[in-house]
Amino acid sequence: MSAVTAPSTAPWLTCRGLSKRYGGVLALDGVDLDLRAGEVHGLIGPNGAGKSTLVKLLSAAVPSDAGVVTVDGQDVRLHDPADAQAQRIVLMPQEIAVVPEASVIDNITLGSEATRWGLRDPAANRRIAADALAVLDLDLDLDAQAATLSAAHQRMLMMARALHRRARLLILDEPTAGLAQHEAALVTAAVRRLLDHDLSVIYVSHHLTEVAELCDRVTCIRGGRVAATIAGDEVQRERLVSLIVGAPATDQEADDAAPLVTASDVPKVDGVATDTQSATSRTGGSASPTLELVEVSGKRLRGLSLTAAPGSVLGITGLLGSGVTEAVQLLVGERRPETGTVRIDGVDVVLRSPAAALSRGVGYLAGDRTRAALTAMTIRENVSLSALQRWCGRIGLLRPASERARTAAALDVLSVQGDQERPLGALSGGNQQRALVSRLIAAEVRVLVLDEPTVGVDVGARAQLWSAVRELAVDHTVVVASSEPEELVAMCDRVVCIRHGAVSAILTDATLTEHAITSAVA
Amino acid sequence: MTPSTRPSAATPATAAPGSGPGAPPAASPSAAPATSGAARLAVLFSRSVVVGAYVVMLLIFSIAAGDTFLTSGTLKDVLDQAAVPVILVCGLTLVLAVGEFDLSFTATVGLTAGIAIVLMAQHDVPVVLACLIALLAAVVVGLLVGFLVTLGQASSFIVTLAVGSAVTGLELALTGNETIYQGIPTSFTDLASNTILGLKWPVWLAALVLAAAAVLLHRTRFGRHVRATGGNATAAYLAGVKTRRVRIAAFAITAFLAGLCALVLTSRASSYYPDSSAGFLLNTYAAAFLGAAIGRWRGFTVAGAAFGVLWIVTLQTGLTQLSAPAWTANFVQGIVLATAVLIASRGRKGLA
Repeated sequence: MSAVTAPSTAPWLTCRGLSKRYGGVLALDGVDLDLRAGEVHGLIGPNGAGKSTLVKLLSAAVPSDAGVVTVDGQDVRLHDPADAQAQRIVLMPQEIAVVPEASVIDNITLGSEATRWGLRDPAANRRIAADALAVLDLDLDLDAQAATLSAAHQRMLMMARALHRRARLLILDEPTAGLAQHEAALVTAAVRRLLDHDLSVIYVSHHLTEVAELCDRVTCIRGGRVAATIAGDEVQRERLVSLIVGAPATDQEADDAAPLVTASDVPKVDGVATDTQSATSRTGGSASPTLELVEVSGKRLRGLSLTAAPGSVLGITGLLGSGVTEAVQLLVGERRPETGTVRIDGVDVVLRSPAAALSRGVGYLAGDRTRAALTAMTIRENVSLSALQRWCGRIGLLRPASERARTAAALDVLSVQGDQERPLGALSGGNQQRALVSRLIAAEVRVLVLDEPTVGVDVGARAQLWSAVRELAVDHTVVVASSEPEELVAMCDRVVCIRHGAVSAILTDATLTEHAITSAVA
Repeated sequence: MTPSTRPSAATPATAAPGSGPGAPPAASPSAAPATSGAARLAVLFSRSVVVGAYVVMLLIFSIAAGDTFLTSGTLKDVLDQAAVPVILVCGLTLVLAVGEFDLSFTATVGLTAGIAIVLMAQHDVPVVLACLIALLAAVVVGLLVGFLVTLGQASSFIVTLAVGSAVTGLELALTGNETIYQGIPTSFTDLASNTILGLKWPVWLAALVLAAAAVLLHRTRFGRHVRATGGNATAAYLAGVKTRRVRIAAFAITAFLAGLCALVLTSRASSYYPDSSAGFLLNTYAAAFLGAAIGRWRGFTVAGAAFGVLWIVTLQTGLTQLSAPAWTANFVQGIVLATAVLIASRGRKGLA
């Protein structure tokens, strides 16, 4: 909104050649960035492009390996959070960081309370809070507990805190993630008001419509480098989508830009001989079932329907807080819908728990590995965990020899090699993930629900996992929830895009492109 | 473990964010997964400390007490003294393995003892029936604790402390806070003093419970579910483990075993003393953590805990034979528990 205050053209903060390496991965590779006073500078890019790393460097959460940052022409050191404070750079992280039990006043003044003779000065603190909220045009009860506020208001409380600290640069990391549309509008309106106060904003977001409306200039980062910085009339939603995907703007041309592995590279129907076939025969040779959500509503979901068909991979995607997480939770029995139903093979079912889903043949691999891996237990114990219900007799006695053999067979399907008596935590991320998929194979599930299956997995292992999942789809129903368009295109036959708790697009075949996905979710 | 088990090319996800270039080199081996040599050495060391200290203790006692210590009489004494703590520690190990705490089981011992004795001594209930009713009450307490712990997200530490207090209150209300020694049938009091193959009956009971608990925790699906729940409750739940049921069962089994102990104790003493079981609390925890300190990297084990009991009972018996002052037992046990906890937690941190 350059209309509010015309940003001065001279940058006050410049970055030159910022680089950061994590182990063997170059997360940021010589990034240049200029910031002008009173501008909202959008920062966009695909997942893992280096946005968060850049934000961390600027807020001095981590030191850079190379590069220079100057403020008002002077080189500055950004090595620890105190340096950022000295430069009045404030990061508002994605996670809401209010103290829920504390009052609005205490949250705004947190860490820099007004004092008199070493004691808190209630009147001064009240004035500070009231002033900060007035700037944001926010009418809140100053004594209310932060926990009683909506998520949008809690975010704005954090902005008020930044104002109180007289921030010169405010970095907002996904400030509207998980907010409903009208709440998000409150937050973006507050951002505009901030600009009257001699402040620059870096606005990191996947919500491209917001970015296009709000930002004066936008920098897109891809693969740790600046792909482009655009300004003025160029800041259009379509252009932003193209920048992120890194392909031409039209769908036709986007199709020509081939991804690393495409769905067609991997056989979709003809059977690659795997042990999953014996798994199927043991469950009576029946084909894998159809898993459906029918008109489900509840937390974040508004009448969502989707269908996972046998022998195929269904992708589910959406931005953080769009309802993808909740949809997955419904599929696997971690949550129950308020209205609407879950259906397996056309029959309404009530999945009271993941155990209930499992007994109906629906297996789940959580995206966050800390919610799936038992790192201190052995690989064998991890793989067999969901299968013990079948492998043990009535009394539940373990049969070590048979457990080892069956575990080995399940690991074999995902080509995990090595000693199964090692602790799972000793494996690399990709191997852990494949061992955890083996857990579902061992349990002889017929539907696999995989949430972000390749997060924290290196590039080579990702491609392996993708083709492994495609092979599993031969005789399983597979659902993959992912926020990475590249992955969805590579793995899925069909992708359901979710925006604000409802389906925004269903993409198949020719329409299934990274461009289309990026555009449909934002 | 083969050399190939070293993780090749740690991905960013597995590399600890803290272990940047600035981290001291000494810290990196312990941050590496379990298969690294340094971690294995650390485990070997922590195991040998506890076992080694036991050998040293035996040496000291046999030198200080002369010929009287290393005798079959002492051994029988130690085993007899160990019977009740072994039964208790089997239950506690289950609760610790499931990732919870139980401070109520000694109160359950008291209540069960009170119920059994009041029934058989004052209401002429047949011995077997009185015992069954008392055990049933113990299980009910365990189920209650389990429900309370799993219902809310309250800390089991506080919940079991509270329930323990209430249970002790019930016990004292039932028995009038008085010692009961009259009217207890001899068929009951004879139980504990009967010997089989030279060992008293409670020793055999303890051995049976020990074997059953070892099988339960290490050789059954339930035991695997217990350890999975204790290792990562969310992951276990999402993998289809009925974690709530598993937790409740662990508390119920612990309470049942506490009830068994109550019967052994009252039979052995031929009487009921109000609120006399609190002294078992520290010992049992000390034994369980000593066991974890010598156990394999998988944490709390039944066999380890049984060795922990042996350790502590030997210490007590030795000190008694030396006529050491009463405070020494408390003092040394406290130090042993603190050391064991440190070793056990260090061992796990290096490996998890």
